[in-house]
Amino acid sequence: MRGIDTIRATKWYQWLAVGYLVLMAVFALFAPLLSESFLGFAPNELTGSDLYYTAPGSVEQDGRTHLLGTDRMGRDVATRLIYGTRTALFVGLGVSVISLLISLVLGLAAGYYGDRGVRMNSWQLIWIAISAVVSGFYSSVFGFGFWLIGVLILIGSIAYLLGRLSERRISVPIDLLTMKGIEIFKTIPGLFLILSLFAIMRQPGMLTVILILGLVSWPAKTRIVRAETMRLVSSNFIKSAQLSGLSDWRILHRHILPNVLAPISIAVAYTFTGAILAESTLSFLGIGLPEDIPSWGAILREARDYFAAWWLAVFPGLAVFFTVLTLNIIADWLNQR
Amino acid sequence: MNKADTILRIAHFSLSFSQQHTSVQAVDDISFSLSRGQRLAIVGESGSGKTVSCLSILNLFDESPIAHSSGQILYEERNLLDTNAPLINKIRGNKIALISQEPMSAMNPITKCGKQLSEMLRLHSNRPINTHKNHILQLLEQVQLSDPERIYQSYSHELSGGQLQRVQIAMALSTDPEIIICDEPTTALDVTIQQEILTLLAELTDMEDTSLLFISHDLSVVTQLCDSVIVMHEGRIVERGPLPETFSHPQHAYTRALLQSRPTIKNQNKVLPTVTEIISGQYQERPRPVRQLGEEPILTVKSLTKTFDKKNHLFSRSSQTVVATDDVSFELRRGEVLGIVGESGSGKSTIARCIAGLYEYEGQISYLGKAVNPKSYQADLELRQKVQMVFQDPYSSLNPKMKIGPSLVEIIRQHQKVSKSVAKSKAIEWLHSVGLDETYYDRYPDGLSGGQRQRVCIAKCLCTQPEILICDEAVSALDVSVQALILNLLDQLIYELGLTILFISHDISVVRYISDRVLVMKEGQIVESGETHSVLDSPQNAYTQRLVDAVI
Repeated sequence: MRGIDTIRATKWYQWLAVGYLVLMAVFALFAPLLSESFLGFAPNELTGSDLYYTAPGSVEQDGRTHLLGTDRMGRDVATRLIYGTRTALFVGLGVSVISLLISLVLGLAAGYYGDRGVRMNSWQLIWIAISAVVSGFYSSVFGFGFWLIGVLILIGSIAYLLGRLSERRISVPIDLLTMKGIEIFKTIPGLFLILSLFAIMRQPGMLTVILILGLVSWPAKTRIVRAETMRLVSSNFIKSAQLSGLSDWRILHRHILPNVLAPISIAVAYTFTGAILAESTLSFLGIGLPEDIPSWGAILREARDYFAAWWLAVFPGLAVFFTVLTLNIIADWLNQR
Repeated sequence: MNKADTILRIAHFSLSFSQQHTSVQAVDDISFSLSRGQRLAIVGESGSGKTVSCLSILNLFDESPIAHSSGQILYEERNLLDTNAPLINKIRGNKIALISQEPMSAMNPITKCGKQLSEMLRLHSNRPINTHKNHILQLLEQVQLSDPERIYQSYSHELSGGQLQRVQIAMALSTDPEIIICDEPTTALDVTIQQEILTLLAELTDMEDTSLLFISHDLSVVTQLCDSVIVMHEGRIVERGPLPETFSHPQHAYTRALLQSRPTIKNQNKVLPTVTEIISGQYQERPRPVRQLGEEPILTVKSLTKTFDKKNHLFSRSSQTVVATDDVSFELRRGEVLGIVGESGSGKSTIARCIAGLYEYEGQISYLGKAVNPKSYQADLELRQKVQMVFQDPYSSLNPKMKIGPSLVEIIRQHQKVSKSVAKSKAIEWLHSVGLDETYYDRYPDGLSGGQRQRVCIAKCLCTQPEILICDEAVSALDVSVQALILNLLDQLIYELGLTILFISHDISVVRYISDRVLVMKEGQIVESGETHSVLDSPQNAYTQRLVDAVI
């Protein structure tokens, strides 16, 4: 029945999930403060040589306690877990934002313009094709960075100016290109793609990890955005917006985007989870973040070397488990609303 | 009517839905009984509780949204509200059958019609299985389907709405039910087909002495088919009695309002009364504003042809071309209302969309003597924006995420370079002119009714200061009383703003009321055109004759 909202009462575990998320944010923001004042260790501090692989609760000579034990090199696990929260949130957020941006741009364009809406002259086409190949090549050789956005803006504005050269336009099948792109992308197994991208990179840092994970997680969301956009375009309110003379840009960001954000936010929450898991996997395999950045996956990896050190497996394992569970609960919650 | 004949009795039945913290009373203490062979109509507007109460008979409501239900629904001395699932399954479909409004969604799209019918028989009948097919073919013949064997082998999407409704009737009849509940069975159908279905229902129920519970908002349909009526308003029964006496001498003000707010030949020259006016007794007859008809054509359509390519099969390359409009020419004069009538598929909406610029087309459309580019909407933007369109479904015509005020301001500022505050005051002016006050400025479309939404849609169109307004079935989805309000509003806007309107509808009586001239369309062509009263009062074409005859 129309007009009746079916908002269900918030369940206790949903509040718990929100609380957990807030706690994580606090840990991430105040990681140095917390570890300095409560634990007294720095994340990469090597304690006394006889204190590697010590069990939770063991005490240093100067009276400091390793609440959750130490690892292979005598670093404090509790401190590294707190700093790992920072890494996890940073990676999750970064990956979500990047893949959301890509999927919104491609999905909205493909869904709104379809195969006939975008029209360019031949100069523009040639310029965009060449610059896409060149910038793609150089960015993979020199590593990605935020200068890429500047390059994209430059390419775009030159393409805009070229548009004045000739009035003869060819329609670009942007929908077809996007969908075929997704299909090609989907034929390559995800982990295989990530591994080979890391093989190209010489020194992967945090930014590289985020960019690579972001670049491989756009297809599913692009499909959702495209389908949702197509549904909206065929609805009467978009038709009447077009008839009343509003510009494409205005229709896209004022009328379509707000209606697309609700369904896509669920997918983004799952991406967030997926990114944290993927980062842990990569660190576990030893190919992700550099050694000096503490992450849950990196601690987990150390458990592999010395089986008896159960605390190296259990605590970071629990951290990953609860974070993923929390985010899934929140994603489900968004789904119901 | 003696007591032994009563087969279904509803006593003090109430039902309320729960909303977050409050509950909404959908049905409030209704009682009625249905006797064998009786054809009882339940009429009322949307939200009156007519559908809810009838579906409760079949226990077709989920437990969860119901906060509270009380009273009794007695069938064979058993209260159906307390009956457990296995028992109710034996009764519904078997003894009490349902025919629903949307024949398409009532059928399973991936199962052939014949199979769905035989499933009914397998569940409910004692006939030997090998006779099922013959019995079904007989049933399909009984509902006057011309090729039963083909229908038996068809999927639901291969059949038309009328055919599907017949299949549904066959399905309902297959178990020899005692009661058939019809939930607006003809609302989604064309008038001529509606007529055939009604005759069929009357014949078949007469033959078997089946009782009919007929839910409808359409008073003329009800008068034609049923022998008694219950009028519902806001969950209560306000009037009941035999037909047609109840409608010829209505006792309750609401019934009177329903009857009088319909446009008919009698009130052709008067402003339509509204339900509130009649109930409060404040209605006074007043004449409609007189239109200033110009002679100059504001819009000329010359040999407009629009074809659609329809792909036959997933793997076949050949495609079939469907001609939606075929060489249509007409002109629209300044200040007039031109009605286009026709059944679904006649191409009347296609014309509207071509004129509005939503479709590419062949032929020529010119505004004020200037031809527009048929391939590109953008090319003649300024000219095109003199034409605005109001759509049928008011629920999908407004952006759910945008407040009403800003959506008007946005359009005003697109067309005039004015400051935000000036645009806001203009937006409020437009809201006033469609009969909404400024409190609507900050509201989302969510809580608005269909009529209010349609007013907002009209206000949005007016913001561009159009010359021509296309109303594509703009009042068809609305209740009679709301329909009257919108028709009055259009009348007034024509008078105040000098609008020219292209009014597309399948409803002859509405078109007769509002339009000065009319075009009758059939299969993409204009079969008759001229002054409204001359075309509809003395139709020359056989098809027009049929359309007019179908409306009483």
